[in-house]
Amino acid sequence: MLEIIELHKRYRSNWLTGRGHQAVEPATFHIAEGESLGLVGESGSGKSTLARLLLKLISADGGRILYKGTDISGYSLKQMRPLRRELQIMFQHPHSALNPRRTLLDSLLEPVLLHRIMNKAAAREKALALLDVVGIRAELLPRYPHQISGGQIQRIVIARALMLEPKFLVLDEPTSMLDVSVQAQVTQLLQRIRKEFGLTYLFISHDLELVRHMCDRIGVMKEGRIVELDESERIMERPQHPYTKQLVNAFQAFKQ
Amino acid sequence: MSDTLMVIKQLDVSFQTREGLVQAVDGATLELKHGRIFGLIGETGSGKSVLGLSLVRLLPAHASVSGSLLYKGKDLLQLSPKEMRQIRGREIALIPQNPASSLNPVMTLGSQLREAIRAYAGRTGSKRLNAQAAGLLHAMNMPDAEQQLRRYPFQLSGGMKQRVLAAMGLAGSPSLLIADEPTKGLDALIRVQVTEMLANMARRTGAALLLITHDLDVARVLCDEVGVMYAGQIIEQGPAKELFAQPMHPYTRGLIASMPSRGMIPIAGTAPSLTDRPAGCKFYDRCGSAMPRCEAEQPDLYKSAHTEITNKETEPIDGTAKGQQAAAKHKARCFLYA
Repeated sequence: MLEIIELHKRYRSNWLTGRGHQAVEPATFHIAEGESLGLVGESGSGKSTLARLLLKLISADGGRILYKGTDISGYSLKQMRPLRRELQIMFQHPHSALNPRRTLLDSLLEPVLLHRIMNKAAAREKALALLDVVGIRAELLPRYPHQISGGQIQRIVIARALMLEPKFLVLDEPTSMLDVSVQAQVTQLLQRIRKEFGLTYLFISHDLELVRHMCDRIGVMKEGRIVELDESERIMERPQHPYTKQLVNAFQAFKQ
Repeated sequence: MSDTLMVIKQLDVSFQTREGLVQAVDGATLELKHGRIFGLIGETGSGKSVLGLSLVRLLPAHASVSGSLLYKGKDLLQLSPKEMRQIRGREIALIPQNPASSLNPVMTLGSQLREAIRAYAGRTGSKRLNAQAAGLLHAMNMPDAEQQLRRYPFQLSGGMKQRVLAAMGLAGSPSLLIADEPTKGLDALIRVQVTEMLANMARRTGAALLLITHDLDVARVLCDEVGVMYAGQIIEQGPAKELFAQPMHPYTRGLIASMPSRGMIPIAGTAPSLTDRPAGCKFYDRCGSAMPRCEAEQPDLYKSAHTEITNKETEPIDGTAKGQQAAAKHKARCFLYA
C-alpha cells in the first residue's frame, strides 16, 4: 500500500551546536494493505518525524513515497488534499487533539464539512452511527473536551478519523497518556475497527509489549535509523541488532 | 516496631466543589518503614496523588483532612505551618509528578539545585555548593554532572529532568521520600534506570520510599509492599510479589489482566465519579463476581484465605523475615473474603 524509498530529513539548528541534526536517516520499507506495522524506539529516535514525513505533514529532504503505486512525494498541498481523507493520523496527547473551544459534535463534523463530502444532517447521522462503534454515548456530544476523560477523547478522535473513511492510519502513541485499563479498552477498539473497516496501521509506541500485541511487524528505530525490521514474534524472540536486544531485555527485566 | 517511620491511620481527604463533595481519599491506613518501598498504584483520579500530597500537607486550603499522620510519633496534622516547614523537604520530601512544569524554566539547573541545598544545609561556600549539586546529579547517573549545572530545563530530556527533580528531593537527605509517578512518560530504557536509581537510594540511605505510580511493572519489581487504590479507597494491600501473583480483589485482577504483557483484557465500564460514589463497594457496577450485599454494604479489609499457605511458600527476600511478617497482611476490601 505504501512504499517508502530512501526517505530522509535533517533539522538544521544553529543555536546550540551550530550544526544540524539528522532526524531521519534514509529509510526504506513498505507497509502492506491491511497490515499493522509497529515502530518502536526511544524518545527522539525519529519515529514521529518519520510518520509525519510519510504523510507529507512535513517536507522531506529527499526520497520517495509511493502510495498505491503512485509517487506522491512531489505532490503539492492541493494535490494532497483528496489523499488526506485516506491517510490520517491520531496523536498522542488527548488534550491537544481537540479544539478546546468547540463541542465534541463540532469537532466530529468539522473534517467532513471541510472536505465537502456530505451535508450537515447526513454528517450528523454518520457521527451518531460511529459513536456507537467507538462506544461513546450521544449525550456527551454537546460537551467540551475538558469535560470528558482522556480515554473518551481518544475514542472521539478515532470516530473523527473514521468519519472520512480512511484507508491508512498513523497512530502516534495513542495510548501512552492513558491508564492501563483504559489503554486496554482503546487498543481493543483499535483492533476491532481495523478488522471492521479494513484499515492499515502504522503504530508508534515506545512500549514494545504493546506493539507486539498490536502489530504484525515491528521496526526498531535508534537515532533516526531503522536498525531492525522484522515480524513481531521474531523481534521479541530473536532480536539481532544490539539495540533491539537491549530494548527486549529491558522488557524482560520487568517480566521476571 | 522500631523500623516504622510513619503510620497513616484512617486518612480522609475531601474537597468541597461546585459539583458537590469530592471524597478523594477515604479511610486510608498504611505504614511506611525505613529502607522499604511502599507502592501506591491506581488509575487517574483514584486519589493516590492526593494521598501523597496530604503527607506533606501541600493540599489546597479548601481540602478537609481528617485521620492521623503519625511521623516519628508526632501527628503531622497537629503541627503549625512553621513546624511543618521544618519537616517538609528536610525530613519528608516530595518528587512532584510533572518534571516539565516543576522546574523553573529561566533558572539553570545549578542555581535550582543550590537553592535546594542551601535551604536545608544552611550557608556554605559556593564552591562547596557546586560540588554538592554536581554530586547529587552524579548520584542520579547523570552524565557530565558539572556541565549539566549550567544548562536550562528546556535543554534536557524528560528522563533527565526527572533525575534532576529526584536530586533536588534528596538534597535534604530526607528520611521519607514521596515519588509521584517518577516513570510517567519515560521510555523503556530510562524507566528501568530511574526505577533502579530510586530503589538503590532507598536501600542505601535507609529512607522510606512511597512510590506513587500507575506503572504496574515498576510497582511489582521495585516495591516491598503495594496498596491498590480505587475511587479513593485502598481496596487491596499486601506484599508486592504476592499481590501480583495472587491478586485478591476483582479490580486488582482486572487491572493486571489489562496489562499488555498479560493479554490486555479490559475491565468493562469506567470508574465512578468521586462526587457520586456508590454506597456499597465502589467497584460494584464493574465487578464480575458482585453479590447482592455488595451494592448497599461497604466491605471491610479482609485477610487472604491463603495467607497460611503462602506464608511458608514465600521465601524471605534480602535475608529478612519480611516474607513472613508481610504475608500476614495481604488483605482486600471485598466480601469474597469475608
